[in-house]
Amino acid sequence: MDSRILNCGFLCSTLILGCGSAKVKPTGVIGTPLDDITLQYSSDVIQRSQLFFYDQHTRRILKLDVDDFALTEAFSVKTAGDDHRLLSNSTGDYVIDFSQQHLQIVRTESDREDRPFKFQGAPVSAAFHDGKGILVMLDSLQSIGLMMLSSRGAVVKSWLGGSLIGSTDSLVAGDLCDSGALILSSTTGAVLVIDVEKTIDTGAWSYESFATDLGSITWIAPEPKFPDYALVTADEKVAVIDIKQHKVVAVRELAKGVEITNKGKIESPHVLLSSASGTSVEMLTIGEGGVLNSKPLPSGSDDYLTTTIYRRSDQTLTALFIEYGIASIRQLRLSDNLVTADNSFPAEGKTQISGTRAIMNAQTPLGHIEQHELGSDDVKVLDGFNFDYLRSR
Amino acid sequence: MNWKSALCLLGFCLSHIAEASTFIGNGGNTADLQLQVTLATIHRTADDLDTDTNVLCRCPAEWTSGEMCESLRSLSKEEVLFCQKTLTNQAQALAEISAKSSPVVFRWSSEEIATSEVGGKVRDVDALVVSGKGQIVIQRDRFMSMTASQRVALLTHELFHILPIEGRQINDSEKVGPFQKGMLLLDALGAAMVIESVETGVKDELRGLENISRSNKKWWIFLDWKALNSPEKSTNERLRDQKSNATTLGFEYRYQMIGLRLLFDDTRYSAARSSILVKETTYSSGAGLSFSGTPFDLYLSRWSEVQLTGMIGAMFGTSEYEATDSATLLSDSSSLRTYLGQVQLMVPIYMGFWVNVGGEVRQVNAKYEKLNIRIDERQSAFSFGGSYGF
Repeated sequence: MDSRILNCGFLCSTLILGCGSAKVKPTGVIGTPLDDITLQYSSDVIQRSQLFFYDQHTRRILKLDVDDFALTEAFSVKTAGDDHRLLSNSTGDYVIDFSQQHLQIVRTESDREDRPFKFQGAPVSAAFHDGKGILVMLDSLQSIGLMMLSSRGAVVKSWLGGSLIGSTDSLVAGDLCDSGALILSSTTGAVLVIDVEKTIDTGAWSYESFATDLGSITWIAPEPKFPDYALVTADEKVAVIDIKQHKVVAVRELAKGVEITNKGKIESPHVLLSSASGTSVEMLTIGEGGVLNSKPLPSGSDDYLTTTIYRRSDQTLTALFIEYGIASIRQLRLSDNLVTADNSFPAEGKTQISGTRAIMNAQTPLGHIEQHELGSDDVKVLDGFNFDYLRSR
Repeated sequence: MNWKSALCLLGFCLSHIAEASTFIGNGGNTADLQLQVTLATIHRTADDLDTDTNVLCRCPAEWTSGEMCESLRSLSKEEVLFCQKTLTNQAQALAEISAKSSPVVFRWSSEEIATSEVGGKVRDVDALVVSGKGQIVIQRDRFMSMTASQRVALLTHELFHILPIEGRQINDSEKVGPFQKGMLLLDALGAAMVIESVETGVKDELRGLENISRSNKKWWIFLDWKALNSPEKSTNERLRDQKSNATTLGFEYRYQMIGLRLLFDDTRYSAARSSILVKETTYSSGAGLSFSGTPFDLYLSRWSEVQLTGMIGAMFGTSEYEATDSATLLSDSSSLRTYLGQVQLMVPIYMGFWVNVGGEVRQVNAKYEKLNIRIDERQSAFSFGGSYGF
């Protein structure tokens, strides 16, 4: 399995389009929010062929083979409530089911690990390093859970820690790096490089830290292409930090009227800025040597934007828009800002993107999943897959 | 027995009486109610007969037409007086003989009745008195096709064959009083009773009963609404509830108690459950064998026409199933086979219309191949509707 972290934390995606349970608003994010869009994707490096959806009508976790476009398995959910967020490893061997005060790792219907890790709040965000088997979770009570998983998804060891660092400092946001280190920011603007395994073994935060003058860093996104660097946002600033050298290597202070309209970690971290008038939109990414690169985008391209994927390999930006109940996935060729694909479908249920395919689960009682090939009219539909299950109940 | 009585008896014997039912005791004959109404009209009219004999046996000035007046206008003055005297003298006896407790036995004949007259001539008659036995035989179809007035006139005529006039029972051909033939006097008496029943309002009082729907019709149209109930397990498998509605149209030909009914059935179910809208519709047609009877025998009551019917039958058709939500439509169809048994109580209203209430059991079989749903269920139903017999 390639050890490269494709999204520095998140390999499962759940996009809520216009519906869903009430969101918990964290002050910071570790990894990616479980309530927000995260996009499951495939790249040249990792081909994701198995996707997982939670079906609230039948209360089952559905496993979809993307290549065959067929549902291969369905797992019942054992806990009450419909607040289920899912994470899976890249090969789909297991799925992690997060729900209120509950975590379950499911391999098959009968092969499960129930509550291998206990916490008190509702899961808010998570970072996952598939290759190294590291899972980090932040809950609504600002507890941070660290878990080491085996290749089968079994929890080998774990630790639940509070967000207090030192005597007065608190952890705010962060993500996992390619090396497996957990990069977190604190309220004083410091950056902590945390040894996850050592922290678990000792039962206390084990880290190296360095100060920055960036203010409160609320978003950290390590760059897979340049593992020493991470893109961060803080207090009207966008910056690049050198994790190895423990320093800030690039800073962009936002001009008056310029605001951050979107931040993305998949496949490579990127930040979209927009002027107050909306006439100027640019994308900031990390370049060679830790420089902050800026790329202009078409004006208005960040209107109604909910999530973006920046792919370095083919220099494309894939963006998901939701407008008037319609979801649109648009691909932009960054070399000349040509729109190479624009697919639309009703914005209901949940959508995942895998490579060039967008898979939408309509979350309807009888079951309806659509797969759209980006840039073409190819649409595949799985219909009525809940019918036999509902009849048998 | 004199020769006149023998002729009457001979005439009676020339025909075959298909039924032995009378309106007293046995019941079950649809013409019985007509007979009861006719006799009741005669009874009440005779019982309250106007003492002013001058108006009897005369056609009222305001009656400008009518067959009853025809037989009275041709009477001479002496004949009118004789008619009046006879009617007045025998009014009480007529009331008694036409009462519910009358000893006269009325019998129905489904075959034509003939009587022999002097000279050997045979003629068909509507009714016939069997002399010496106190029986009156009535040709049922003729009686049923008559108007109310004609029936009153007929039975008055026949009853006066039994009552003595000038101390003796008279027949149609012999001379009595100023009348050359007894038949002319009896026809006049009949017409007089009809006019009197109209003038006194008795006929109107009983008119409602006259118009009650009759059960002896040959052709029937049924329209019933049914509330069907299916087994829970079977309907759960189709994601629907147990209740559905059916409408059945039936056309029946009935001979006496047995009928053949053609059936056209439409069953519908449509409801949303857990945001899934399920529709199931069946269209089928078939036939059934029915059995009918009138179980009640009540004097001057519509309940004596009430019918109890039973039917067994089979229907064949198609069933269509559909389950939809906001994104998905699943549909399938199947051939349908239904076997049913039904019991109905039919209550007469007026002018041939009826109200039906009953219950039904159905055995239904179908299979939706595409959706892999098999139906093999027993349904029960409450039915309510109407019918028309003609």
